[in-house]
Amino acid sequence: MRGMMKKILLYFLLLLGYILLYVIDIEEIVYPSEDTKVESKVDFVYQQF
Amino acid sequence: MKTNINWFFKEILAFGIAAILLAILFFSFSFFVSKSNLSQTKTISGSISSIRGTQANFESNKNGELNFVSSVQRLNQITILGSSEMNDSPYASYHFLPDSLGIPAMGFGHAFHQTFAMFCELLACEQKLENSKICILLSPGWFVTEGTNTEAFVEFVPQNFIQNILNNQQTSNEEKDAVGKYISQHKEDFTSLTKPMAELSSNAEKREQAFSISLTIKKWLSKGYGDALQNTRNIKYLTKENTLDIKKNRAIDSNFKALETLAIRKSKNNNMFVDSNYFKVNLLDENGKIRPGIIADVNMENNQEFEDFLLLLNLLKSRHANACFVIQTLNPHYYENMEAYDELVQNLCKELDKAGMPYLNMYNKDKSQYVPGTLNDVMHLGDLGWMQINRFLLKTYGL
Repeated sequence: MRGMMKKILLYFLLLLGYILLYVIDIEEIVYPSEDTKVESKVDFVYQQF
Repeated sequence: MKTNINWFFKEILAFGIAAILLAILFFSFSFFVSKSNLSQTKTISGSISSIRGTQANFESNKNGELNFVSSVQRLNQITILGSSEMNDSPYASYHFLPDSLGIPAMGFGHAFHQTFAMFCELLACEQKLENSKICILLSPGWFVTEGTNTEAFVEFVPQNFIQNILNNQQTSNEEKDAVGKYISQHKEDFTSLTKPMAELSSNAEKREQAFSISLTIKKWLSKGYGDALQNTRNIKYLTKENTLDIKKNRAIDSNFKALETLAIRKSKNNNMFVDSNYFKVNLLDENGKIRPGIIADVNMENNQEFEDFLLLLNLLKSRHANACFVIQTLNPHYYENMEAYDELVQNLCKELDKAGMPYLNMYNKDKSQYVPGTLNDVMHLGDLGWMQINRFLLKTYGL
């Protein structure tokens, strides 16, 4: 019985960790990162012809 | 053997109980979260909320975003999306309609503003599209490109728009994935990906697989937790109502002949009805000879711009926008092989007819039918061309 409880606890914590860290990304919700600026690496020059 | 089966059964049982306990925990916790206000909303407000003129892009300009959202939201205002033809002519719809007739109209865009960027902009405020008067100015030249380039994407689709697309529950997965796939295909061309860009891209990749467990769990959780589990903030635009005095004089046809005469007068040094200065600077080479203008063939198979056009058309139709399209022309006195666009223009018209979308087809390869002043030069709208669009807009919207 005790062994079973340990297994349940282990799986519970593993699933909780998977959901909080991977599915929900809890760190980003609690400590949102600042917006990063995105730029294009390719500059397009307007050519009419 | 029996011991092995027992061990396996016990593991499965322990996993199952743990999963059920976790589900109960999340379910109970959702009552607390739904009653508290954990979701974050970023509000964008400003003093400017224009009802006339143009705006080149949305880069580093929150008021620009506000102008765009306000324009789409105001049902009496016409929002015009276009590219390099957006000039400062007093006859351009975003000047002529407000200044001469008192009808609010704003133009957005410059060169490279193509259908995919327009799709993203409008998708970001899709809740406001119903009955919104939107006019899309199509240039046939876009359809020989590989679609919207990344520089234009960054300029016209700011991060707030991307966050709105990601977080909006009303937006379909297909529409979100269209944006996600674009980001995914072009990720090497961006200096970095922001959180919402990365999430849209990875969601699109995951959804391409037959089944994604993380997306399924997230979808299930979002039913109980709503916006609280989003790791990007919702964007709310505080828009302002502005009004104009509507003027009664709608006799605009009288200007047409005068504008044609003026265009002929402005093209003194050529017989192509091209503005003299433009002709000298852009069409003559160093030996004083006219540079050739030959239209390249358009490949309609897997044409990215055409696919993007269909996305845009479907968005406007599905959200019941009061939208219309203009297919612009090129100067047949200058360009050779204008037949290359025949199939494209036919396909555009076919799709617009199928969608029941009003449109003005200005495309004309017949020199004898070309009216001087339709274009200023070889590809950009002239005063008369703008007046043709104004007449079309007034008729389409019953103004």
